[in-house]
Amino acid sequence: MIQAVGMTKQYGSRKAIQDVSFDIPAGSIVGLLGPNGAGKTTTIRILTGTLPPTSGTAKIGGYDIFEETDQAKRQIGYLPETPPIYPEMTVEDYLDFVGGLWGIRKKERKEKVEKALTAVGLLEVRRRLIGNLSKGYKQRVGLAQALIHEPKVLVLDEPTIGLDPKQILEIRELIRNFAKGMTVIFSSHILQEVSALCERVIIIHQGKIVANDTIAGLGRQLGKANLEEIFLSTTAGGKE
Amino acid sequence: MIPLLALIKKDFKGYFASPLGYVAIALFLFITGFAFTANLTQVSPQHLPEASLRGMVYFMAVILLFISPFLTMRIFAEEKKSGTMELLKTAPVSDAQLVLGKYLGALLFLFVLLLSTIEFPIILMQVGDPDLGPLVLSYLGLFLVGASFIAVGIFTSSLGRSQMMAAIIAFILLLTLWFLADVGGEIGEKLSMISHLQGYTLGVFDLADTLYYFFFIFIFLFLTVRKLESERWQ
Repeated sequence: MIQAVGMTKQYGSRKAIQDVSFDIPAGSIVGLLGPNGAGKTTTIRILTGTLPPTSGTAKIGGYDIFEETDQAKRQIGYLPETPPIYPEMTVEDYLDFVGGLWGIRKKERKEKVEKALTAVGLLEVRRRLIGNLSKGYKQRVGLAQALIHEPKVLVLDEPTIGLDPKQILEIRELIRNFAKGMTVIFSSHILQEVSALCERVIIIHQGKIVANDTIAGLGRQLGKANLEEIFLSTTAGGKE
Repeated sequence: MIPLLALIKKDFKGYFASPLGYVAIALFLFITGFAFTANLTQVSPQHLPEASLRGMVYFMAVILLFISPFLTMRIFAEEKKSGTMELLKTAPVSDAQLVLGKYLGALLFLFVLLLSTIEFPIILMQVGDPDLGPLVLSYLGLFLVGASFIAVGIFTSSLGRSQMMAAIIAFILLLTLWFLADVGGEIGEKLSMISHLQGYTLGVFDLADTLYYFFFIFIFLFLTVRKLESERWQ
């Protein structure tokens, strides 16, 4: 469903990511792990078509993100690291606007806004200004935005960063629910989160993929007991 | 079409979600109102009041020149700064659609801003017998000039993340283009925004003037689209 084909991104002489390839089957939930600055966000931006790679490409549901851009984009719901929200808009108006951006007709839009609000539990704050909501709720608005056009793939960049423990648990619960009907890829550097949510991980270190397997499989391969040890052994060495 | 309408609506409503729109309208009315009053009430042998806006169209245009960078500075700079640009880029909306939607949203506000001075012609009609041709064309001219200011402002707003810089660069560009007539000789006069306004204030419709403004607007919107496109490939 999500295919990265030899993606490389070069900024000047520095390679942010190098020859990143993976294939995520439909219906799975995958954690993209790596230390800060490893290239997680770069990978995600290329997958969502917001950043062109220096070479390689990404395919979403079989559509090339740079050649069949529109079809590919329609498969993806994307929540960037900072939720792309307008503080001066109400939750409802905002989702209506995003629905409009996706070209959803006014009649259907109402229904889809309703659906997205319900899915992320925002019904009771629908008429509040986004700027007045808590961080956890803002993140939910960001999730609702990613779901409005009913994508098959959900891409989340550090979805729980900066939230308090209760909010983190709530957002995780939502992601777990979404994963039932969608393919989900999310980046994180919180290992507990990844072990709690997914079976498969892709570990990226200094712009290269150093592991891509199920947590159990990696444990066997490397002789490690848990994800923390796997992570430390695969991302050891190299210059910071 | 649907994304375009969504963008227009969002950006137009944005002016009224903060004090910006109200302040702009109040300021515009306050200053032009002074000029209007002075125009009608200052009576001297050299200056007899007449039922027309001719004396103040340039003045109104200059006020627009000073207000419009404030109306346009946030259009792209804020989206870039707050990260919402990523939302606009992930949706299947082309750069041209994006620029056009935002431009039309701002134009709609300009229309409201000019509409707020509708009492001037109404008062003129009450107290005198103004020539309708020049009045209507004056407003058309003001709208075209304002639309050109906004096109410049949208372009400078697309250049970076700072609203302040967007406004300052817009001012410099607009003042240069405005006063080109005084310093640029014959070519300067042809290129200057000010010289193409004259016909409208006199009630003379010249297609060349109108085309000048259309072309001017097109160039700056085109530059904005190119700027956004270039960002995708950086």
